[in-house]
Amino acid sequence: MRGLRERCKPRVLGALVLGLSLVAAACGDDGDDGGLTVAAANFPESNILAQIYGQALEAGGLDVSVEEDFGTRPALLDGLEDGDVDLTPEYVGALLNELEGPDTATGDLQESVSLLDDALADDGLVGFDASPAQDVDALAVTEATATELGLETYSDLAAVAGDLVFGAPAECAEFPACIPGLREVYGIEFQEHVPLEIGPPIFDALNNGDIDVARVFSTDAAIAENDWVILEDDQGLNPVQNIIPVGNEDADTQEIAEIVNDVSAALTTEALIELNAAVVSDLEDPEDVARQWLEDEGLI
Amino acid sequence: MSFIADVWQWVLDNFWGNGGILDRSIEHLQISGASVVIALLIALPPAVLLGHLGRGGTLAINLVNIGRAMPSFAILVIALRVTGEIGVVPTVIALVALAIPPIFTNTYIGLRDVDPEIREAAVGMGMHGTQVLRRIELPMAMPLVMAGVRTSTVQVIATATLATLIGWGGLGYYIIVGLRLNNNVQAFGGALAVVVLALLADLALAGVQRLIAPRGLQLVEPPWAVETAAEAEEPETEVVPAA
Repeated sequence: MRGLRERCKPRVLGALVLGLSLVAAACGDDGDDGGLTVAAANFPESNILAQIYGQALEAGGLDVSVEEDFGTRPALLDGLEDGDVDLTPEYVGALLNELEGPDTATGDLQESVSLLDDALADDGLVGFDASPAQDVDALAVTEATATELGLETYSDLAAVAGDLVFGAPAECAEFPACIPGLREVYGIEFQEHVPLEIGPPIFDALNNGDIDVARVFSTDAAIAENDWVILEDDQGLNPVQNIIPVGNEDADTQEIAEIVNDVSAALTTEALIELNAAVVSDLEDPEDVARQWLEDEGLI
Repeated sequence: MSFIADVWQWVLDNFWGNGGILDRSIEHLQISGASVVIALLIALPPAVLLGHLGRGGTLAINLVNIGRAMPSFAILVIALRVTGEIGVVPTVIALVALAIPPIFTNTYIGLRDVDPEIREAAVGMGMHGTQVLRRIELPMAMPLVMAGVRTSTVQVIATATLATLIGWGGLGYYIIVGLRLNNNVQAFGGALAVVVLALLADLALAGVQRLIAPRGLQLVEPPWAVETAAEAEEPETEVVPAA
């Protein structure tokens, strides 16, 4: 993992004068000011989760600051190591693959979590309990399609897929956990694959009937707005992506673990869909959305 | 060097067949060609009219330049939402918006730049407006018009790679899938195919330009023609100086 040493090595002579002051500042601040920093990756769901965990810890009497949009996963991992970040919400499969290489994570939660715990321990980090809430690659159909064809699981798709058009990003054609996996594990052969980006292109296409099955993320706000049905990956093709808070040694206390684990246990995929919808569609502030949810759940 | 060898092997492995490079190149050319033709139909008449009249050009050029200022991907997504279609329709809308500005601007400027003395001479010879346009202005503007068409075509071919994001195939598939799945050979191969396609299209249009440009406006004789003339020195081709 990239660490302090690399970040503090001045690389370009020309930028030395300006660079030194910045580097000195970056190295000098180890973030260890007694408070706990909960930081989020730069997308709405991560911000919501950081607010949820941060506010729950604050209500538990800790001195907490929440940093939204801290950066990408590598930046957060560096931050955890430096002490700029003490706790961050992560995803089991994505983090495991980042640490141990692609295709390490499987569809089995326990197996993946135990691999992840080992990988984190090697870096001096700690993973708390995984939440049942999952933001995973998923297949969605409209309510009408689900009712008409009696679709609940991926397995149900196999028999009817030959008449269905599948909308998914172009790389799905070659991505192991997408079309090749659907074919091998479930015997699903769609009539056609239309290359579409997840977001407005794929959402509109599903609602207009240009496609019958859409690849989405399981916590996307659009699912609730459009009453789509998410099919169950009953054979565990996609690697698990349960929410898992990850911390450094500053966050590794019994007190913090209890608070964080209570929150994780209460969190569900359905709740995440609603929370995302509030932030992405209704443009509410992640801070307010998080507080409301914690109050509703009786956690603060 | 092994990277280049890998790319070459990739080209050989993926050239033929359904969804192969040839197949996707044809798709790519179809949507690019349709977009440029539609852009010509939209941009040429007003550009020729305004250029001939010499009015409203600045305003019009600024208007069509909106198409250049807006990122094609933004136009793509807006077109998708507005039309409710995926694939061909939003892609063509985005590419037409991209193709119009160079064609319009070059055509307008081409007509405006015709030497006023030539235009006046034509009027003095008794030509009326349409004749001046058809026989003087348009032929003289043709090199610039074609330059605009060529610019648009190259831009459109490069940008048509975005179509893979919204339900149309084309060569963008290789680039997007290659980048996302960390297959540099495929991403580079796809980009190379786009470059080759753009260069071929530009070359073809250069040929068209040579064919339709009036001979009097072809400033340089092709080098081989000059050479043969010099070598041959046939007396009957010598121009007799006027007395």
